[in-house]
Amino acid sequence: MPKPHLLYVAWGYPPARGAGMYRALATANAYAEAGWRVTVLTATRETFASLTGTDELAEQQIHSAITVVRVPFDLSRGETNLSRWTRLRVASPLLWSFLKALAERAAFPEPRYGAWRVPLVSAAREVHRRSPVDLVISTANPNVDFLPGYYLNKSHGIPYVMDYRDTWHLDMYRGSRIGSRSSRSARWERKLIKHSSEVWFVNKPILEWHAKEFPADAAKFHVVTNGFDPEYLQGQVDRISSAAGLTYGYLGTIYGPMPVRETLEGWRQARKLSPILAKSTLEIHGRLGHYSVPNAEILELIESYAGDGVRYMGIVSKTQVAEVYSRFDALLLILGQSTYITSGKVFEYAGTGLPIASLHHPETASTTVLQDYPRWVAAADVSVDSFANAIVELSTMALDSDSNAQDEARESAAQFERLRQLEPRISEWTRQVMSEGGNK
Amino acid sequence: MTPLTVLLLVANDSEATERLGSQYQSAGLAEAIAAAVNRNVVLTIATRNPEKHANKSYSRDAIIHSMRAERAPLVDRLLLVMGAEKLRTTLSTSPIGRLINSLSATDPSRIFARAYRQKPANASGHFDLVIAFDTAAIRTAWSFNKRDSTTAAVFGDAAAIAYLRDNN
Repeated sequence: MPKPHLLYVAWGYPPARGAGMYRALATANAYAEAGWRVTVLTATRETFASLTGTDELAEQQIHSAITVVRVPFDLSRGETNLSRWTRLRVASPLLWSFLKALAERAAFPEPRYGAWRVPLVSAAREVHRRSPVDLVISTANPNVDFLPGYYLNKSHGIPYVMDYRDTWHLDMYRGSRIGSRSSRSARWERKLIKHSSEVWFVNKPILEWHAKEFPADAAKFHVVTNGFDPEYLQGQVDRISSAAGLTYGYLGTIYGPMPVRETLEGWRQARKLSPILAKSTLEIHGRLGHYSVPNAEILELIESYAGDGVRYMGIVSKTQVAEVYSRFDALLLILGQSTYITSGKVFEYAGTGLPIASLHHPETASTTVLQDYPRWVAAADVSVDSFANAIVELSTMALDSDSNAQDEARESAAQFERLRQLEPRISEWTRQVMSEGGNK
Repeated sequence: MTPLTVLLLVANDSEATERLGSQYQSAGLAEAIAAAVNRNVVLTIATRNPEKHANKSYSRDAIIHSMRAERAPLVDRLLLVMGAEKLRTTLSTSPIGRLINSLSATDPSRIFARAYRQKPANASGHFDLVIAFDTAAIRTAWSFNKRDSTTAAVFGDAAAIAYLRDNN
């Protein structure tokens, strides 16, 4: 029997940088590993070089059996070669941008990504024409990624799965709806969900919100949580903490309403409370903001705490995380308040076996993830005092741990491995497609 | 080999001194460009406030060209008499007003272009590359390329260095 063919659609696929890329990379790899022929539709390398920065090491992790089709993405907004600027754009960049946005919205109601609809859908049709597709899985955002599945379903009856890494009309920080239910994008979402075979969400609170919004479709909703990729943690060296000084670490993207200022102030206060912390350092690794250039405001804030042993260490490739975690005695989990945000890094943090301090509001989705993790302290609320206390408590935990503590903690986190989250969906789709004969 | 002739157009002098100053502390911009093309570079910085760029690390080895003229261009003098700036300020409070402003003679890119036309740098010569440092300098840089396609025009100093690396 021929191998089933999966068309996987992800704008943010390697070498794109960004937290969501790893879910896309792992999902496509997992299907390839499970015996599927996988074709990935994504944007061009130039797109990522220009917008997100690139991670070539992540690109090397793409399963060798996967075919990657790169669909051109309009980069004219960021065009710096002025010979390519039209007379209209030079006459009024404002008018040009307005007309550009209008054209994008006409194609699909998603700012900056709408124009990708036409080349993306035609690339999907071409893939299907050359080699019939059995299943389409799309991961968003951008939500335009969902369209190839919808159109192949409409024209050829191919089932499609919508994988929501993020949400479309739910403001995850406020818990409120974005936009009206009758807006064009809301109508698109309704239509896409209605015709889909499955919809995946990263946690239960997000699924429940959508189940209320789309009760008729709720039966096909599934939680496929994020997880950590153990292969990236291979080579992490166990840490023996010393009272001579500890290294606290944060590894991840800093953006949006995260309590960064409270964390840094809490760190400063904790150093006054603890002589050991006074000799310790806090290293911040990862992206500041969503772009390849660090957000100047966040960078300035971090650098203003240099006298307190705080250092910004730059962007880290996923393939270097084991090395970075090996430097740390303890981890700070800094998150914005939201019952809907789990964050991908909470799983990876747990996978390290290191002591973790949660510096966020207790009503944040990641709290439930860590509640059985043996090396965990949580701030009582978002305040400098609570954060300082948690940071001090964390130092005691790191220093009082015996030599088995890291291994035990790591074992308790094995349930969060990404493949374990994906496995049920892979098995189910393999069974369904194979029972239907495959290769429509 | 003849040196590469580069013109940097600066409309917003405060932003330029701050950003270029922090970016080119050890080597000047001319040196950074020369390193990218492995060739000698003659860099001219065209500005209405030359004194702001004198003796700065980034302007090392650069010719600073003053666009400041005895008299402002006729259009600018007329606009001043007509109180156009007041109208511009009023219009800038609404989106449609900002759009009108962007198409009007009071748009900073047009003001800069008129100033440059009145006092061009290297009047009879040719530039291999023209860099618009900021948005108000784009129109002037773009015109260089439209007049002579052998003159490359880019927006931003980092883009200029990337462009030279890619095209050499």
